[in-house]
Amino acid sequence: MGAEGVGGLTPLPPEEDRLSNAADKGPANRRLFSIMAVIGWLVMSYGVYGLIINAAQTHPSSWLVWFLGGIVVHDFLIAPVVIGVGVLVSRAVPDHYRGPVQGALIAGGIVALTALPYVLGFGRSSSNLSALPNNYATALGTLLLLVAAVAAALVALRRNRRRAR
Amino acid sequence: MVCVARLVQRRSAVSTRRRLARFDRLRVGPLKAEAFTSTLHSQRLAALLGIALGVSFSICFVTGLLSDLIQTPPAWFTWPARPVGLYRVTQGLHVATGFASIPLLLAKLWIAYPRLWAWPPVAGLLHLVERVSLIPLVGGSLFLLFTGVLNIGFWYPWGFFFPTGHYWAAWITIGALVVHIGAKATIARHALGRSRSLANGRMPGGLTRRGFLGAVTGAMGLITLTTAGQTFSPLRGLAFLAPYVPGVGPQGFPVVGTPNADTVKQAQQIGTYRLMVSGAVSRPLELSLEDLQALLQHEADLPISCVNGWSQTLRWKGVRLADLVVMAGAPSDSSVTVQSLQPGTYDVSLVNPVQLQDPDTMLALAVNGEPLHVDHGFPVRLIGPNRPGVTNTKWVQRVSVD
Repeated sequence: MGAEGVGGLTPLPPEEDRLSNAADKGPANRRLFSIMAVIGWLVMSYGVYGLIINAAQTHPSSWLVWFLGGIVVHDFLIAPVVIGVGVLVSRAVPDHYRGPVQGALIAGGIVALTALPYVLGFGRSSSNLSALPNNYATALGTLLLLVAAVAAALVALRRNRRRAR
Repeated sequence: MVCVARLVQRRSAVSTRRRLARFDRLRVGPLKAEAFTSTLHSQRLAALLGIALGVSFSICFVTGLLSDLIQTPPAWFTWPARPVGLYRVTQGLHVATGFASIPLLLAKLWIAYPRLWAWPPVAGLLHLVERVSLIPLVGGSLFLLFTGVLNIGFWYPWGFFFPTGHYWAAWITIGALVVHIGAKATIARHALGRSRSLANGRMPGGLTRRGFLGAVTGAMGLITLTTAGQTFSPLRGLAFLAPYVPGVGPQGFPVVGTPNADTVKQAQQIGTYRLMVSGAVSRPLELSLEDLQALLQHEADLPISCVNGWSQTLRWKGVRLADLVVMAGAPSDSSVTVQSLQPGTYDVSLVNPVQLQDPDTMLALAVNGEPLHVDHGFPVRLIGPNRPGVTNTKWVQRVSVD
């Protein structure tokens, strides 16, 4: 959720450590990669074999939808939204306070995404009251408030330090 | 000759570049050069998070394989009865490590996101293999964590049987991880050796790399603190996000498998209940609940260690399983199959000779001093040391000696 693509506002980082979308030549150690690729693809083949011979339980077509669906949802929905929020934050929040705000959004966003299935509570059932017994919306709300409080404290600390200077 | 070959090579490289240049018009949006400017897209951070994920996924893989071996043991595998809490630890670790991997994975994917839009998309055969292998790596990682979180939350929006789908996805993901380590090991070593400070390359006012890692670690901490109490009792009071909470449920502990209407009805007509001991025995037995109550009762403190990651120790009382097997005229080092009166996915479980001979492996009639609640397996359930919760069959109807 860092600041993205705000034309010219952000200096380029040290070139060597940069993870950009520039061309790369592929594996640095071709020998090591070739060995690991063979081992890895053998292991993957075993996984695909197991998936297919157990088709009665794995329902490969449904399995594949969820397997590939994760990539689609993450790479083309979640990641762009996160980056969009990052751009907004980098434009809207003053430089000195941006760090804590970004940190709070990262931590809060991850916790919210993790808790979401329990907040939605589709797994609840009247025949088992011991499954999902908590109020997960309240729990998540409390955690987000906690994260916001830590960020606010950091902002206040920075403001005081700036004033002292 | 060599010179000519080099010249040809150079010329073809130039013409390839020229040919590719025509496609540069396609470099729009995230494909544009310098589309991603944050200094947090860093090889060093990617390497650090990659190593952390390598460790956490390995823990999940090994503990997951173990859990599968215990539940469907091949001939060469005998799961011991001691230490009592071993499965509690390995499965607790499996779920807790999975939860902790969520922030690591999301952070890692964000850091590496510009590479998704690398231009040109493919540079050679090995690069192609490397990139294609990312599909099972990313797809598998997201699949495993997502299905794991939903499974313990009892939410099944998909068409496959969770344990089998999750199991084979794990093999595919680990294979893809091996390929990825092969591609990145050298680069990661360079990236980590290059600079000691995480704070370098900081943007004005923005989050530092250390701050980024702090936020990710903070998320891991919050998720762990609010879920680990489902098995780690000192944190029980903080288990706000745990889908099960020890202490909550009928008779003070959670239920996973619930009785159907038939089972409830049979439990109400307890006079007709009979436990059968059959199979390779010389004296098959048919015992009513009263008969069972009249036999020597044994008590033990044993945890229920659920595959879903929660666990809770309770005081169980009942008849030693080995006593019944010996009463029926079979040796006490037999293998035994225990069957429930309620048909379903988990209606039978195996008790190996080591488990059977353990004095604490029993058919429980009571828990914490009360007869079992029907949700917990009334009239009789299997309980034993170091067994996955799901193999502690409820509503036991038959014990057959193999």
